[in-house]
Amino acid sequence: MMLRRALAAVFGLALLVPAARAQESAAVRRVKQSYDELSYDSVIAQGQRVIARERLSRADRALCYELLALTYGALDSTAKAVEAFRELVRIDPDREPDVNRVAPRITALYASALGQVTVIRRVRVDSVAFVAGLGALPIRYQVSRPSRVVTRVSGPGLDALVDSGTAAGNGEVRWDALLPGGAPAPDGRYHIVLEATSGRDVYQVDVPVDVGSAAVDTLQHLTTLEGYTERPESERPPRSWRPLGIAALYAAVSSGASLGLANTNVGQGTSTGLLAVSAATLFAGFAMSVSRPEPRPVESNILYNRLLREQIARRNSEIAVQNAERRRQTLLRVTPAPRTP
Amino acid sequence: MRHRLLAVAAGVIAAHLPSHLVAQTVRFAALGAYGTYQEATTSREWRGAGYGGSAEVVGRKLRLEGAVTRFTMASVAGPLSGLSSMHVLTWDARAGLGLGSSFWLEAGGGRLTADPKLAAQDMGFVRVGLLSESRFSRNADVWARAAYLPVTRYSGGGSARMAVELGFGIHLGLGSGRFHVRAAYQFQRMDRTVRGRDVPIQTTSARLGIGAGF
Repeated sequence: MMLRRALAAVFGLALLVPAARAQESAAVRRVKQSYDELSYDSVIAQGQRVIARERLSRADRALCYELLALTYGALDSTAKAVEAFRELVRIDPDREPDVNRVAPRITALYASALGQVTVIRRVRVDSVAFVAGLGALPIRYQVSRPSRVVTRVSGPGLDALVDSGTAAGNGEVRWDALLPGGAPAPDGRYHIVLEATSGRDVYQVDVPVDVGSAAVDTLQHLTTLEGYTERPESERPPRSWRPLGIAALYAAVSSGASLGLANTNVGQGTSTGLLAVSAATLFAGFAMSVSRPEPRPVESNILYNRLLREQIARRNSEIAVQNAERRRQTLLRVTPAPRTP
Repeated sequence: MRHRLLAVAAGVIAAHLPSHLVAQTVRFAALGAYGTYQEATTSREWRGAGYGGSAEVVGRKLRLEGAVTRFTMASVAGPLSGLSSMHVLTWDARAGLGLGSSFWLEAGGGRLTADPKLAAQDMGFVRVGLLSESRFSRNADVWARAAYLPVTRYSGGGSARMAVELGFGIHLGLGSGRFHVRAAYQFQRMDRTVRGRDVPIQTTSARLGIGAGF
């Protein structure tokens, strides 16, 4: 039995180390010293007296109840341990024994106490930014017992009901940060108050948040589409002997026809001019065959580029519409503010 | 007054031409030429060089061409009736209508006058034919044409039951295409008859020119 008590005390001491840093009251320090010395009777006597008579901060009061609960737990005074844990939960619902450091029996006592009171714990609000009217601030929490949870928000020019419903275990509400008329909430500090009601038990938690507004960033117009690049609209074809072939064909057919149609009755004539022009034609064909071909348009690439430009223009017109809408919108940034004890 | 009216009318017509008929290319060229004129028998053959000029307006579907050449020819067989040389002035005019990308239907006329009159026939004719053109590049092409001459007139009378014209040539742009060289050959055969006697006429001309265009 002594060994078990000593182990519980050591575990409890480990649990209390972080909290001890925050406490300032000399009376509470003495209670803790008694606990460290395993003077359980002294812990109980001093602890009850300090709670009853001293004006303690919330943290000191929570530490006193925690020391009492651990002491009662170590002494197997289950009912009193649960009672002390109940008070601890009411004062600081998020303060709970570390399952890795305390005996399972202590954890079970804490769980028993938690199930007997109605509290909202593990309230979590993350910093978010959203366009007014298109997003909301999520507020996540746990209720210790099935409860009706009413969420209200109050702040500059606003006092409104956010949500009302029943919750068991984990719950979530979302605040859109809009005024009743639909306008974005003005900049300032707002208090989101969650109130859990279960039977006659009522528990309230105040979550302060800061709301700031800013203009919504506009989108940049596109000059290219990712993954698509314009293709060359012209290409230089490879050298070809086609010009020489065509020139030879024209010259041969025309010369042949001229010679064939020539009327020999009026003389043989002369072929000087015919030969000169034929040679010039062949030379031109040869020159065009060996010269660097001119670039020629590539219709498929021209069509591709046209479609690409049309697509970019269409996207840009959509962006223009979106930007016009964005210029009318307001970006709301909601950040959790430090809670007052 | 009449010329002014004609100029105004031409301007109005040009302003109202459909866009596809509007010229894309206008070219002018100075020509050096070599030609022959043969008539009736082997003894009446003339040859000589000359010079001239040409103008060309080419649109997408319509083209107009004109050329004038002056030859100084000499008789091959020696003096004829005391004439050993003559001057020949030829006029050619053609209008073409595009048929597809490389064929043109052509119609036009031509005139040949000789000085002195006795050396050769003055003649005029109407031509109807086909032009085939093949482009090597933006600034170079080769062409060939054939035409039938349905109407022929001669200063010495008579008519031609068969008269044809053949030709071919090249046009080669230099550099940017503003300047160009051209070579053309033309052959005409007219089976002329006068009072039942065959008096054929045959002409050839080769032209080499350099010009500018825009």
